[in-house]
Amino acid sequence: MRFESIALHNFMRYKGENRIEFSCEEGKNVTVILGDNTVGKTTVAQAFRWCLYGAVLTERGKRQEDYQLLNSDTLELMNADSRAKVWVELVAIDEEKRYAIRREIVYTRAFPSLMAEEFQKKLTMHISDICSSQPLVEVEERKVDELINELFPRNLSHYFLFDGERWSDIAINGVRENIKDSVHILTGLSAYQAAMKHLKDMGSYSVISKFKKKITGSGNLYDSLASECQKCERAIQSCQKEIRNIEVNISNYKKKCQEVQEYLEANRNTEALQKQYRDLGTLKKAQEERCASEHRMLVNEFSDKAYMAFAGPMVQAAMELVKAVAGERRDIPHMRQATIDYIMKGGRCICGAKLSPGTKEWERLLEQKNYLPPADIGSLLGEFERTAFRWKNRVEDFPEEAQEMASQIDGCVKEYEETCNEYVMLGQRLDAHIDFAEHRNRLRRYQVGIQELGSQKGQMQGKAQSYQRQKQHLEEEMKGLEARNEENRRWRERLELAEALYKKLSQDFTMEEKKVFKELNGQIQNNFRRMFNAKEKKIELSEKYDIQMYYKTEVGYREEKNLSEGEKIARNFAFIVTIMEYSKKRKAEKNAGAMQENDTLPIVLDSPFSKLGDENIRLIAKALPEVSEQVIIFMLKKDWGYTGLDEYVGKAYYIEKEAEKSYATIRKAEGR
Amino acid sequence: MASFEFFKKEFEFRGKHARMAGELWIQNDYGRTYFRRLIDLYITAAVIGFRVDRKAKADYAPNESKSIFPEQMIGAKEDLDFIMQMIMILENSGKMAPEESVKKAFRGVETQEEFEYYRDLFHSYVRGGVEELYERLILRSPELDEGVYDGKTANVMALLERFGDFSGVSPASC
Repeated sequence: MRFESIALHNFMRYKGENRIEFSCEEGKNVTVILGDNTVGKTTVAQAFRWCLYGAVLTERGKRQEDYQLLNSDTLELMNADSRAKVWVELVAIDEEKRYAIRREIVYTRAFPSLMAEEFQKKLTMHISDICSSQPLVEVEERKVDELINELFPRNLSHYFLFDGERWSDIAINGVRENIKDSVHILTGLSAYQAAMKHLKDMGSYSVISKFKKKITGSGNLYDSLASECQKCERAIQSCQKEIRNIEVNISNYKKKCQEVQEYLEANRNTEALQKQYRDLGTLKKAQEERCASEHRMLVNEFSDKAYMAFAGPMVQAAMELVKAVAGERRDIPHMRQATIDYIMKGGRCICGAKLSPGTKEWERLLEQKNYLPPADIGSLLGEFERTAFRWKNRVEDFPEEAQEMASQIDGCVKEYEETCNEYVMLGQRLDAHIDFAEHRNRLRRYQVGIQELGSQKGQMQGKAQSYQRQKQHLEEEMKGLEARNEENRRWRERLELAEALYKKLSQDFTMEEKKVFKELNGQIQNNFRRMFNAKEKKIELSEKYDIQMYYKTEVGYREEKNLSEGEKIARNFAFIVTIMEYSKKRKAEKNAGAMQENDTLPIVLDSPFSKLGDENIRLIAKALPEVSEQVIIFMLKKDWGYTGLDEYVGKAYYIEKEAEKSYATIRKAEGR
Repeated sequence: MASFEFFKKEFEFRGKHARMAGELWIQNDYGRTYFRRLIDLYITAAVIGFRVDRKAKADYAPNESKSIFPEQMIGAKEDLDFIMQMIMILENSGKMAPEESVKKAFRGVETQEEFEYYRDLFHSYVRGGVEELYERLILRSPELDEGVYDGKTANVMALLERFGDFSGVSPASC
């Protein structure tokens, strides 16, 4: 399947009609549409999606209604009575037929506001034979959607309409949900599922159930057995419904368990960091106390001695004056005249000599008395001198001591500040409030929940089996009581045939699914290695078809959940290429006898490489023309050189937008 | 000085001087305070005020006052008397004969009027000293090349560098 052309009329950024014809040449199956950022490349990519499915790809947080499809320039020129059409026509061809799909909306303007209102919608499809000159056949309107979905399955649209800028965003949830379905459709497994559903899996509406009801019996006992059998059937269905519910709950719990385990795993280092953080906190506190202690020492010394040191020049000046006044010192320190009077009154000197008027000792004491206060200030002067000397002695080493203390303080403060900085930085790295205990409790709760649900599921399965056995027993009994007529015999044969068919389909489905999964998984790994030259990482499909990426470690591969944008795109590309290759291979197998060309979906890529490195762009680009019959790429001019796709290009276009105009135009590149 | 003794009563920092004293002395916060006790600030401020000849009148801005209780005063009386004696000697040396100024300093004041005069003189130096210390310890931002990393310590060291000087006083001179 290839796209032949697309025509846009008044679609979003494109005013009037713009047309692109795509290269369908073998060997030159690439069409490139180049343009700068924001000129309207994505709009053309959106036009594909809108034409096929009536919806554009929305950005996160936006709804379909938020996108105005009618070109704003056209809307501005409308009045209250005028109408304007928006349409996109897509022409696709396969080996035999040409399909022209056209989606159209007629708008009115909610004048005077600049709002477009839908007036009429239309979707048409014309089919014609490529080889014959037969006229076009119009497909019935109600069947157009169905046919489009057959030709371009919507749930595969994420793969063949690939939006590099947005796909990685929606890849996890958007793609995970339908990967399995997509694979089943592509591989034909969905047909098995549909057949199995029709035969048995849709309960009382299924073929087998209907056939059973056709078989009749006679007598009250038969009727009673039939009624019992129906009850059993209802009980079995109820049990199966319950089992499905339990399975959903178990799956949810497992998912939550996995999330918590991943969280704990990711934060395993955090616990070590928290210990480091606590230790650093203790060290910080100790250093803070040491700083305070050093400060205290300096404050004490400063309080005790600074004033004495500051008073130095005062003391010196006062001393000079005092010395000038007092002359030679003759006093006895701390002695006053009253002291001499006391000694003389006692009649005996301190040295033991007897004191009496007229003796030498008596005269000496009288003389000394003259130099003592209060009659003389000489003694006070002496005290002043001694205090001055004491002060001097006390502060003699003070400058050195103070310097030493200042150095100590500096050392402490620096260490403390370094620790503080480290502490803050570590604090930022850590969410100090992470409560691992709470997470572990949650994990335990989920694990207990899984156990309980597992046991419930077991009970329920036992119950279902018991009903099943009961039902089989009843059916045996009923068989014995069936009316022995031709009608019943025929229904019985049909029933047995349907059951045998169901059994065979079921076996084949299981086998085929395993085979498909194995093949896809092998292929996706090969493609990832080939396209990304990946040696240190690999991707794998899980049983649920999640695409998981693994990093090589010393102890084998470890799953990595936090992928970069580039890695997500790389992963998804590997998947797309794998799917496309697989689909091609399957069709080749089918058509092996008929020697027909294989039909695959074209790939339309919007800015696929914007988040990839040059080397990866080259590797991916090289793989694309090989896996698809047709490749249509919208990309930045500047990235084109890295693709190395020039030799495959059949047609090239430029999207341009003049600065003064609000709409874009498409121009075919010369020489292509 | 028998009948009129200084430094036996409470002293109160008031107004802006109380605010400044509150920043220079923060009780039990050795990381921020410069003085262990308020009396230490009082003594140091008296010396600094006299050294830079900075007197300041009492201020009555509505700040909570800060008091030094009599027992603390009496505990430091010996050093305070010594400073007062020096102030009296040096303050009067230009106004009267050196012998007179020294005798005045050692015999002490003899009238209420004299007592109040010298007490107020001392306190005006204390307030002036508080202002000077506030500027040099609180308002000053140390330069990077002072060789001391911690800002508070750098200011202390700069103050010691500026005013700490006992080189002229030698045992021989005492």
